[in-house]
Amino acid sequence: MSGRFADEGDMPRGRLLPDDDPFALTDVLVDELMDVVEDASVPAAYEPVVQVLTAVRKPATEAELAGELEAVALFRSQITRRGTLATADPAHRRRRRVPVIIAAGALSVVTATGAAAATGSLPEPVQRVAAEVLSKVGISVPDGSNSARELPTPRRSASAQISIPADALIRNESAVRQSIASNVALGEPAMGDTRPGATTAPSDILDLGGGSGSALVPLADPPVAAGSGSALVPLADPPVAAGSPTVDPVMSPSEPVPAPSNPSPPSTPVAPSSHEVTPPVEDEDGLAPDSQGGLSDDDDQGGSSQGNQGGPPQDSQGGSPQGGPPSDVQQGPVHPGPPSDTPGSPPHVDSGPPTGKPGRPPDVQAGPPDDDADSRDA
Amino acid sequence: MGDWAGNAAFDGTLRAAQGGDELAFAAVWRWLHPPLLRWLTVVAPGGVEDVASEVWLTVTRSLGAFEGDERDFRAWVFTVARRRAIDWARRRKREPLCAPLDEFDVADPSATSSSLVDADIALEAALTLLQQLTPDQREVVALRVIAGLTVSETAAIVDKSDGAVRVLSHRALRTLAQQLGADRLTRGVTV
Repeated sequence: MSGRFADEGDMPRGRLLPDDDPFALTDVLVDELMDVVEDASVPAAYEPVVQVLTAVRKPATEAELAGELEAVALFRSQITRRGTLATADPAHRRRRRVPVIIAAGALSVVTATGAAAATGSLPEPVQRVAAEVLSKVGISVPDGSNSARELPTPRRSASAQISIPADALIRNESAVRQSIASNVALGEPAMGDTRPGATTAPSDILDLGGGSGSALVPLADPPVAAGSGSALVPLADPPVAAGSPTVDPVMSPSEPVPAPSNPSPPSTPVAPSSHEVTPPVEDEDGLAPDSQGGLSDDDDQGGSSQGNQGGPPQDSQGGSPQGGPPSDVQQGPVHPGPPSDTPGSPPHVDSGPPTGKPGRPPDVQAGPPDDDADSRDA
Repeated sequence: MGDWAGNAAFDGTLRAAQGGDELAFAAVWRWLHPPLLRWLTVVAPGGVEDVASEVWLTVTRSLGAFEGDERDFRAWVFTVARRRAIDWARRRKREPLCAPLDEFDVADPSATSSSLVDADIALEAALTLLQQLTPDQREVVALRVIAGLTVSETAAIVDKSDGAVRVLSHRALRTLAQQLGADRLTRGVTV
């Protein structure tokens, strides 16, 4: 085997170099040459190379350091007003801008939402929530229901109050005077005549026909509850035949109602089976009607479908919301139907929690703890 | 030349420079500018001053965001220098100079070999000799010798493997040795 070890003194990595190549190098020798190791044992062929590499690593010359002032001037120009270098490269600047953009966007959204809430332009649920939140910080904005129902109303009423008295009242007054004059001429009692023969009241005279009187009535008298004895109600209501029962068109528009002239209960009261099944406890909690398809708003249609068989609306089925026992005797003609007709009602009753509150236990159980918490907080 | 030789520790000097201290920046500049010029003389002859100015402009702009020690900073500066040199080379191709580049880019090997061996080697002559290497070889040799970077640091800058850097270094040294009086040295070894 012909050959020799490079760097024979220290046996670098055991690589065998050929004898006929004077420029053969090992990795260790390459590193020593590159690092310009002074006491490195390099082959004679590389002694000039060592001199070259040592020359390029000489200390700096004055010519090389001549541009120091210009470099410092360049450095000074990069110093910010705060006296330091800008610490942000483009990536850092982008990272800084992100929170600013987010904050600006959030501020815009809050401002727009607040403006919409102040003007009552938000949807009703959102408006209600905004009103509640802002009311806590002392800002009063229209409530959702108020904004949807009450805001337009004052405008109309205000315009009516402004425009109608200006012309209609004058015409009314002149018409009243003419009517009084004609009545006087016909021998009827004059206005304010309280003698037994007088049949007209001042409010009755205001019904001048042609709609002018009807427009004036609401302005003079605000709506009152039915049965309060307002003298204006008969003017608006159509004439009712004497002896016919008064039917509330809203409560039962199409169902026959027992005549008030027959106050006695039926001789054989029919007790609906549903009332026999319904426990009183459920009535007190207000859950039994719901489980039977009763009083909740969602079940109004189902209740009416049952009540159309002859019963009044659901509100009068037994006074369950008031907590009283079902008045089966007084509602003989009422046949609300068995609760089993309503899909899902038996599982509500049978599969209720052991607390005896079938139906919607979460709704019921969720209320009192909140109240308790509020009271504790208070 | 190579390692930090300032009066204060490099980390403190660098932090002071990042804080706007001109003296600290001047110390850093005096440490790295000479090897930067020599490295540019080898890899980008003809555009040394221009490229060096661009390098320091980039360094001063990004100095505040730098984090690292002495070796990291040196490697970063030469990474910037390499990119600016590449940009300069591309511009030079689009905008050719009036005089041929060969007249001052490449030295005459016959005129330097004998004088380098016999006489005291001057800096400029040594840099001129390194310019005769292939672009990859002279770049690696300049980073390893002039900038004082390790094999791994050099490989990271030139985007090559450590083995490729070693091979390039090996071939560059061999080429230099052959150019510096190959006849006489060969006789001395083989005898």
